[in-house]
Parts: sequence; C-alpha cells; structure tokens
Amino acid sequence: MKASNISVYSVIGLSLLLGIILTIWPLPGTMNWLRPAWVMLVTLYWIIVLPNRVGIKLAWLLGLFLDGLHGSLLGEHALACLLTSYFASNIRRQILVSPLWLQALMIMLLILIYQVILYLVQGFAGQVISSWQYWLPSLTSAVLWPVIFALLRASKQRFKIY
Amino acid sequence: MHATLNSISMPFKYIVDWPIKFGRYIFTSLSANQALIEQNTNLQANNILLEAKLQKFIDLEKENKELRALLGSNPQPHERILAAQVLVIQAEPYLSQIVIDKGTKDGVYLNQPVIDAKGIVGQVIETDAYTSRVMLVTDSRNAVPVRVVRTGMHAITLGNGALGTLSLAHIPITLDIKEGDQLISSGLGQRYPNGYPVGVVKRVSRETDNDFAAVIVKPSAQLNHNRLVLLVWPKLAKLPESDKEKSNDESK
Repeated sequence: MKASNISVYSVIGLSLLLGIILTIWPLPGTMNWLRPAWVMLVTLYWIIVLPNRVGIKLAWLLGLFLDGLHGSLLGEHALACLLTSYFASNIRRQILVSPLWLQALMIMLLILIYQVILYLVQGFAGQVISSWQYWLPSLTSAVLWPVIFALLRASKQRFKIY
Repeated sequence: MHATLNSISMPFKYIVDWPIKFGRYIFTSLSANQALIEQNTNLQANNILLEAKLQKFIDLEKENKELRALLGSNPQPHERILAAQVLVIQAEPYLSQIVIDKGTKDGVYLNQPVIDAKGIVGQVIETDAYTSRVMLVTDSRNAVPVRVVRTGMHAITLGNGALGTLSLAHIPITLDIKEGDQLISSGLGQRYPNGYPVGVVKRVSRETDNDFAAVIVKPSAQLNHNRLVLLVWPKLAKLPESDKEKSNDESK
C-alpha cells in the first residue's frame, strides 16, 4: 500500500530537520572541522532515491536556509546546494546501481564539489579559507554515507514511501 | 531578505540550545553538594577581591573626573552594559562568529560592541528579535583601532580568521613594539569603546627585506569558551557637525 502524501513529506521533513540540528550541534574543539555536510547528505539521499518528490528546487531553498543559519553570504550555500544536487540528479541512476563503497566515493566527490563552490564564493568575498582542515568534511561525509543510507532506507521502507 | 532568513532560522538555534542547556542544568542539580559549596566559597572570595579592587577604581575614577574638569575636557561618560548568554550552537568553523540570546527587543543594534570579562569580543553583525550574531575580533573582516599601553602608539588589529589570532597592520620595522605589549582599544573609529583590552603581542618578526614588521597578537577575550558576554552601549564622543554629515553621506 502506498503511503499518503502527508506521511511521505513528514518523513522527509523530519530527516531534514535532524540534519539541520546536527549541522549546528556543538562539537568539541577540532571535531568541529570534521562535521559532515549533514543537510547536503540527507538531501542527496532523497534526490537520488525519490527524484519525483525532492528536487533541486528544495535543495536551493535549503541552501538559502543554511545561509540564514550560518550567517554566511546570502546565496552562498544556496548556490552550492543547487549545483551539487543538479550533478547528483544527473548521475542518480549510476549511483543507485553502484555498490555501497562506490556510492560513498561518488558522494565524496559531490561533497567536494559542494565545498569547492563554498570555498570559491568565500574567496571572492575576500575571506580566503587558509586551513587545510576545511576539506575534511568530504571525507567524513563519505565515511558516514553507508550509515546514513542504511538509516534513511530503513525509515523509507518502514513508512512505505515511494 | 537576510533578516527574514535569520528569523526563520532563529527557532532552530533555540531547538539545539535548549536541550544542551537543560542537560547542563540537570548535571549541575545532581552534582555533589560539596562541590557547589566549595565553588560558592571560591566565588565569594573572588567577589570580595573584585570589590576591593573596585573601591580603588571608584576613587581613581573620581580623581580622573576632577583632573579632566581641571583640564577642561569632556568627562568620560558611563556605559550601559547588558549580559547575554552565548547560544550553544556552532557555525562553520571558518566563520569566526558566535550567536547570543539578545536581539532587537533588548535594544541590540547593528555594529554594537561586545566584550567579556577579559576584553573585547567583537561586534554585532546581524540581529533579529531574539538572537544576534557577533563577529569575533579574529574574523578577517574585523578591524579594531588600538593603542599600545606601554608607548601610547596607535595601530589597527586585523583578524586572522580560523587561526584565532590577530595581526597588527602597517607597523614599520623601526617601531618600538615587543612581545608582551598590552593593546587596548583606542575608541577611534567610533565603534568600539575606549580603554578595553584587545590583546597581547605574542610575536614580532622583523625581516629586513620587508618595510613592515609582522606582529602577531593573542586576543585577550576568551573567544572560544565563553558562556556569558556583555553588550555595551558606548557613549561615544560626538563628531563635529560637518564631519557627521559627511559620514552620513558616506553611509548612504
């Protein structure tokens, strides 16, 4: 049986809310540099798995919201989210049929694109990020991808959303 | 536009802040009575020390006022101060910012200076009804006009971003500045109030093929582990009318 629209969007919404909370949850000291791009990861999952429900428009809106949350330049995260999700939606079939380790590798590349866009915009705005640790989140995102994938797939099957 | 986005994201900041603060509260409630009594005693001792220092300060302030009156210059006005809690949330590590729980409803305004017990923390760069974002002095966009206490020389500190230090801009290699020099805000620039500690010189490197010395400054304020900061409403010296109009024109 197919789930109603309300439950579909509440599951997607809740997962995104969790992503947002994890984005600003305080971590001790240098751990902060390791924080994966939670919102982007959750959005990528839904874009890959449910392209008819979640599209790049939602990714753009979420990016705009992240700009408000971080107080970064207006449109910075919006642009990064938009382009990354666009690339992801183009290769979603390849990602879906790949084994999990290859998926994680592709996710690392996508998050790297996301970070490069942020890096460039920051640089153009006159704040060049000089720390090499800035690039670590793409690695942690890839490492955590199998876990996120498994959790979100479990909730997707549990609530029967397609 | 940015303001709207900010107010949309405001509840999320509190969603994260509340459970952590609540957890801390529970932890403190359950922590041993003995520890609290000990802490209380320490705090009381500390308070007496500070009050004793304050007595001396009040006397000095009075004397300062009298001397200024004798010299015929303006007395230094008192500043209004409000304590604000730092919200327990983290932004991207490359943005040197904190978020506090006071907003426009408490009278916070844009570019308002923020201090803590040890020195200048930064300035407000965004504010909505219930939260404000403070750009730390270590942000690369932030510049603070300072004075070296030992020599009275003026300079400007610039933030070094994620490195957590400041550097002094345009210091000729021949200038008298050395490790351990105290820097206090000079009040020039009409943004930060006069006389608060900004930092201590950590390292001076003079290379002969460069006209300027590289001066690294360690900020005085405890930028990373503050739970309370203070908002200041400085009473800045008024600009002469013509200058004021000019600066108004520039801001338009």
